[in-house]
Order: sequence, then C-alpha cells, then structure tokens
Amino acid sequence: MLGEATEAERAAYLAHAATCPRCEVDLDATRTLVCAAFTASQHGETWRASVRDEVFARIDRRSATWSSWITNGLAVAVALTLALNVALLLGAGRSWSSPSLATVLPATAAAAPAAAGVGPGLDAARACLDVAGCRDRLGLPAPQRPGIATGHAAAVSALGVFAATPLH
Amino acid sequence: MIQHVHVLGLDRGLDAQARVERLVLEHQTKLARYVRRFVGDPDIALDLVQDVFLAAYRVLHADPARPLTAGWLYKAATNRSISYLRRHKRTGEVPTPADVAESFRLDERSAVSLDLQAALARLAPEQLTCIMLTAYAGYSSQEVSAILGISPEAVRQRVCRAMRAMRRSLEGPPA
Repeated sequence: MLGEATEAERAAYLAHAATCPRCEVDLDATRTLVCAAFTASQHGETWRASVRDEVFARIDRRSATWSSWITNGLAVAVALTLALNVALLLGAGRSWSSPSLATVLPATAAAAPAAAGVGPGLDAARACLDVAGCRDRLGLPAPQRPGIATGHAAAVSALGVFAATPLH
Repeated sequence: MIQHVHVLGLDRGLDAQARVERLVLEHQTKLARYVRRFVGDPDIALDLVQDVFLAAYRVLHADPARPLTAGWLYKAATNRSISYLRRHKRTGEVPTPADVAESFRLDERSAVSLDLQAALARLAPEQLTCIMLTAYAGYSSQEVSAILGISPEAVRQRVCRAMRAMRRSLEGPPA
C-alpha cells in the first residue's frame, strides 16, 4: 500500500509513476472514474433543502432563552441584595438594641438609624420577617416592644441628654 | 460545483441575523446535499445543516466584523457529519444500503448515485472528508489543507487512497 511505504519508497513510486505510461493510465483511470461518478451524481440531485424557518426559530428561541436567563439572574441578584440588606439591618438593629451599646453610646444608637433613614425600613423589614416566620428560622430574638430598643434611644434623645452623656 | 473559498464578509453593514439569512439562502441546498452524502439521511442532514447555520450565527453575533468563508461552513458541516458518523458507528447504528436508497428521492435513485453513496460509506472518515471536499465541493488540495489544517501532501495522499478504494467499490468484484 502507498500509505504504508517509507518516504523514500513513496518518492521512488512517484518518480516511477510520472514516467510509466501504464501507472499513469491507471491513476488517470481511477481519477476519471471517480470524478465521473461524482459529477453524474451531482447532476442527478434534485432535492432542495429549506432550513431558513427552522434556523431562525432556533435563533429566536436562543435569544429568548438568553433574555430569560438575564431576567432571572437580575431577579435573583435583586432578591439576594434585599435579603442581605435586611440581614444587615437586623444585625445592626440587634447591636443597637444591646443594653451595653445603648448605655455606652446612646447618641449613636438613636441617631444612626434616623440619619440613615432606615428606622421605618427596619421596622418594616422586621415586620416582614415576623410575617414570613423567618425570625424563628434564623434564630433571631423575639421582637422587642417599644421602649426597649428604639424606644429607649428615642426617649434618651427626646430628653436631650444624648449629647451630654459622658463616656466613662 | 461550489464556489472556491469565497469570502462571505463583504456585507459587513448587515447585522448577524441578516448575514446568516444570506448564508442560509445561498448555501442551504448545497450544504444539505453535501451532508446527506456523509450521513445518508436527509432529515439528519437538515438537522446538522441547521446546527452549522446556528454556529455561524453565534460567530457573527460575537464578532460582526468577522469575514466568514464558505470554507468555514463546509468545515463546520464536515466536522458535524464526521462526529455524527463516529457516534453512530460506535453504537452500531449504521444505515443499510436499503436505508440509504430510501434517503434519495425517486428521481435521484440512479445506479451511479447509489453506487457512489455505497462507495463513500465504505471510506474511512479522513478519506471521506478529503474526497468530499475535493471531488464533491470542488476545493483544491491547497484549500482543503487550509480548511482542515493539514498539509496539502496529506490531503493528496488521502484523496488518492480514497479514489483507489472507491474505484474498487464502483467497479465491483471482478467477474
């Protein structure tokens, strides 16, 4: 077989085939036969394919899939951000409601939520967690009634003692 | 015969979808007939050709300035066809000559066409690829070497072997 020959044998064969009329005729005959078969077959082909509609349907499906992925991704990102914010606010709320902090830094405890405008938001988030029953699942303490956390800070603030409280 | 490496990126002002539409309208039939010779089934050929155009869309969508050649389409079609054949040969799902004959329309079922199909079905994938790209799609050895990423000498060698094997098949057993 030609393919199993070494480079030298192949070169020798090609040199021989170039000058040997019998081999040349043989190669030509092979080429002619095969090319004629291809040409005749191609001329006889009448089948016409039409894939335009299917291709564009698949392109549309692909675009729709991508947009749904993007929409879903954005929705998940927004939900995660909200959840994270709620968790952070709850954590901050717990810190502010701790007696030691409220005692040591009453001014900060009272002013921070109000300054950030998160007081009502914090209450709303807590209410949402209560409704959803998340507070138990998260192991958070039960909601405190007014007067303990923000109520305490607000009362201190209202008395005007927050700025004058010495830090001992 | 199919045009030689023809740059399909001259319509760069169009978006990916419009360019793909042009490609589809211009090449769908030639490409589908080409793939049908590989897989011997018109329905599978249509599926594979759809995949090729979808891949072309992805390429043009990612890089609208990219010029796409007809050679790219044939390379993609060839790769998909060969993958399909290998997958199905592994699982033993090889179409019988009767199935192959069924895959051609009645007016296409000439003896030479069916003999050619049978001869092609007996070739090794790499020989089949080279002979189809040269003898069927009309590319030169140089162009096929660029399309397949192999040397022109390797292309000529595979074509030569494929032709010898096909001659044996086409001439049939000696009387």
